[in-house]
Amino acid sequence: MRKTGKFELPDELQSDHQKAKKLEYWTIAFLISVVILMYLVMGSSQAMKTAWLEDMLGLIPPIVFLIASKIAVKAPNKGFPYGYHRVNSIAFLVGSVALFAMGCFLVFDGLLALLKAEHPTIHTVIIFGKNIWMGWLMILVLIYSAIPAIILGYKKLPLAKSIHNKVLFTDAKANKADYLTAGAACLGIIGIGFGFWWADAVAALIISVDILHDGFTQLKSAITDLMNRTPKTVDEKKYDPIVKKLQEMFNELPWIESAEVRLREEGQVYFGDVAVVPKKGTNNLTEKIDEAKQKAYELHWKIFDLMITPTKDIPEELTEELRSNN
Amino acid sequence: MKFNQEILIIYLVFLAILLMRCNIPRDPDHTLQKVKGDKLMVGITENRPWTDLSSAEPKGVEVNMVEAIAQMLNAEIEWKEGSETELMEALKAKELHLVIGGITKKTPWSKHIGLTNPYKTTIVYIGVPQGATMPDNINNMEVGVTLGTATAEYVRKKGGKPVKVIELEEFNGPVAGYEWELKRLGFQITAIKLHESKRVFAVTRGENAWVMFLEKYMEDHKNEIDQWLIDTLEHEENRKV
Repeated sequence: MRKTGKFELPDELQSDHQKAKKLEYWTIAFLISVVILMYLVMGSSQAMKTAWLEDMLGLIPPIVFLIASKIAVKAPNKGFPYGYHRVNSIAFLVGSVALFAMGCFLVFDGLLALLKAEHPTIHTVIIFGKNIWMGWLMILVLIYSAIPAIILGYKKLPLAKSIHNKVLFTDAKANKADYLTAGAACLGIIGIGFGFWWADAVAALIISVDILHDGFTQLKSAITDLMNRTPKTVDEKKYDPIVKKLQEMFNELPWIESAEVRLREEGQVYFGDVAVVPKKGTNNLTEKIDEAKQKAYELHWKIFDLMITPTKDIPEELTEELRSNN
Repeated sequence: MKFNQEILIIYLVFLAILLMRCNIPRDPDHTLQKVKGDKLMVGITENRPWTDLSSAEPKGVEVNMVEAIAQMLNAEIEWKEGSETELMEALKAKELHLVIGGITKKTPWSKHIGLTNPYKTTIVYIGVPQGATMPDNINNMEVGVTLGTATAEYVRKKGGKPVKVIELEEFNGPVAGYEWELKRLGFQITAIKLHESKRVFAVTRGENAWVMFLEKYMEDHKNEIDQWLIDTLEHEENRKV
């Protein structure tokens, strides 16, 4: 068990975290402006409506990140002896459910719009005394929504990897991919401009399928996270090499006969249990266990809370299966 | 991997120039192209002062607008009289190019057909007889309204008590009616607004070049349209006398 109170990122990552927070504040401010502008110009375009809803959903990850940043680091107490780390995972789950649900709805809505074969009417608006087609304004707003999003995404991605924050990571990726949404919607509007009424509905459908796909991927990740899956790297591509390193570290300790490590993610950090079978005749077992624990914590900042249990034999739960996964 | 922002901007500007020259927006069903130099099928339903079918030739503010538009297009107008329902169905079926009749933006047909931007906002006001004091509100006041109109509901919504009369001038006290009605009958118009309607033209959905053409006409000829309204009302007044 960890005796320390508040969870703090190691010093070298504190500044990354601060940078990330600042970027997320900017993201929120920027997205609010986009949502307002889009609402003003979207008219009866299905593609614009879909992009607008996607941007509204895009507000959830930064807000979640900022709130979780405050709460997840609170010190454990009697009511919450394991701390508040899971707040991150729960927030991620909530966000992914929202995204997935919205994706389902939008795909359905988009298909309906396409099947109804409705031709969207796009008006003109008076600017400086001239009649300007709203389609141009929509395109301008879409470009405005895409470029800062992409820039923010590129800036946030490396930070997310360094502080191992899944919420920030998925948010950054989504921002980066905004050019797809904006591009599709632009093509939809230009299509209408050329008289292809279906271009709008098709663009909307493409965007909504993308949202659904993102929602599904995130939902899967959020669920497996809460199911105490073995930690993976923040991009979910492979198991975190730390798990293997930790296992090796324990096996190499001279007083240990054999050891089995299992870890799970709790937000940004890892909790876990290590079952050790000490060599016959080992003295000062509790000191040795304590030393081993400190060594483990020094291995990586992500290893946060380990329970080391001396046993006679390695328990059955931690058998070949587990070993082979590493 | 950093974005080359200069290249992106150049690309976008180039694209923009290309698009501007492409004559956007276009009509999926080529309405604007079809009517030029050809027939303009216009559905018309009675709604004075916008459309007036009481004489042999259609008259009214919107009729004047359509005649001017037809001239710009070098098109021959073919009027189709009918109820709003029939006309809207025909419009939806693309058998008409335009439907007029004092149609408002809030029409329930908006889900089936397209509407232009409003060319005029008409307001139902509270009017008081000449010389009477102008009230600030109509809470619990009795207000004269024309029998069989929705004006009674507007009065109720603002807290007043509608009194239904055949002719507004019969009522001794505040009345509710459109600004031109009140003016014609010699009432003073107060600042109390009961209801706003935005007058539009109805077109087939999605004919964006056609809509743009009509909206441009409406914007360019705002003053003329206002003058037509005044003229039509004077004409009405003279007729009544």
